[in-house]
Amino acid sequence: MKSILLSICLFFTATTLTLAHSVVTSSTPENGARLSAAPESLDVSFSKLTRLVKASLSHNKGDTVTLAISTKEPTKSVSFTPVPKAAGNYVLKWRALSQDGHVLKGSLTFSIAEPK
Amino acid sequence: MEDGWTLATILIKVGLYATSFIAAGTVFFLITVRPNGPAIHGPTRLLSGLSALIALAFTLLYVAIQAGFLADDGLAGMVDGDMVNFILDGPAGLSSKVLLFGLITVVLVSFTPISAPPIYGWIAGMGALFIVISFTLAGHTTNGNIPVSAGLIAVHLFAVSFWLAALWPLYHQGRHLKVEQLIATAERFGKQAMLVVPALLLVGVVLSIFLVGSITALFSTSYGLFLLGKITLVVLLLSLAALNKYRFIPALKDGEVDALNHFKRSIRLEVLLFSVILLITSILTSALELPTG
Repeated sequence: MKSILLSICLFFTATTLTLAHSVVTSSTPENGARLSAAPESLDVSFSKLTRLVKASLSHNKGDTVTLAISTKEPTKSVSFTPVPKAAGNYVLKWRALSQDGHVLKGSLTFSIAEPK
Repeated sequence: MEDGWTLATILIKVGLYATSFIAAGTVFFLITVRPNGPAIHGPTRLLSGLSALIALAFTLLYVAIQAGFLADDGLAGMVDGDMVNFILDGPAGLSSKVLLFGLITVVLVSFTPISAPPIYGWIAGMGALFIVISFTLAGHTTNGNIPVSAGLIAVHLFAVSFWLAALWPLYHQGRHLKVEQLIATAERFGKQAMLVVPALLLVGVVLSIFLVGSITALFSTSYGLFLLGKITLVVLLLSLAALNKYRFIPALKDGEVDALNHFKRSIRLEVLLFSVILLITSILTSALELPTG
């Protein structure tokens, strides 16, 4: 029995968990983008219908704003406006429900350069 | 904290699966195997009722944890009305409501006197079916990629609950009752299992093929590897069940001295294997993406 338990533990430690994130097919700006100017909007596309519940945008100087969600219906793409114009690093985070009931989480980062 | 929600979901689901399947399975066991006498009937009904009560608590906790995960606002999110409503409006909410209905039915019937009319047993059976069906209403298999997925899952879970829940009555008989009673029950259970186990395997294989999509994905993705681990443990479980049916029970009939101890050890090992299988299942359904997208 001990050898079975040991095998089970080894199996779990040898396998990396891929936590359930929503599958983003594209975004504007792209994750990790370095922008010279603030984008007009933040656009995210999902691989499947997703019901967005909550979204927030954090700035590296500490401000976090809750973003308005335009639809409560399941959607494959979402757009957030307006976008803050200040230079710095941003993290967009969202929570959503998949069509099969799973809670999904996701994020993307981008930065806006100081004006020259 | 974010990964804490996933971990909490996994752990709660293990408890929810175990208690729900035992609650439903004990009802199926009592209806189909019909163990003799109140000495086994009474404690099995008690196990059914207590399991259903604990599963009720797990169900409510599961909804609260999903709301907390969705709210992303610390523990307060677990009681955020808007977030709870989001969960209850979705497939997880529908699944939880059907599960609660089934569990409450089983609880109510389990605590009626054993002398109650047989119709009570069939009402409990309906509750047990609701418990099983509830698990077909949310999750990866409801994506529309698998033909008749709800039916396949229902058959699979009926078989799992029947098998899991039979372990305790068999073990209890082995410890406290006459060997003749254990043999009689084990043989009746063995006959039912000859129908149930092939169904469990067939459906498990079909679902695995649809969920993973390819042999390559079985070996190259986290989902595939965990599923492979589950399949390996199921093979071990089947080996133990075969040992019980074809070696230990016949040995008990022949009066072999160590047969009862071998049988009880085998049952304990089956419980351990089932626990790990439920943990892997919980990880598969909570924290891993399907290779097929």
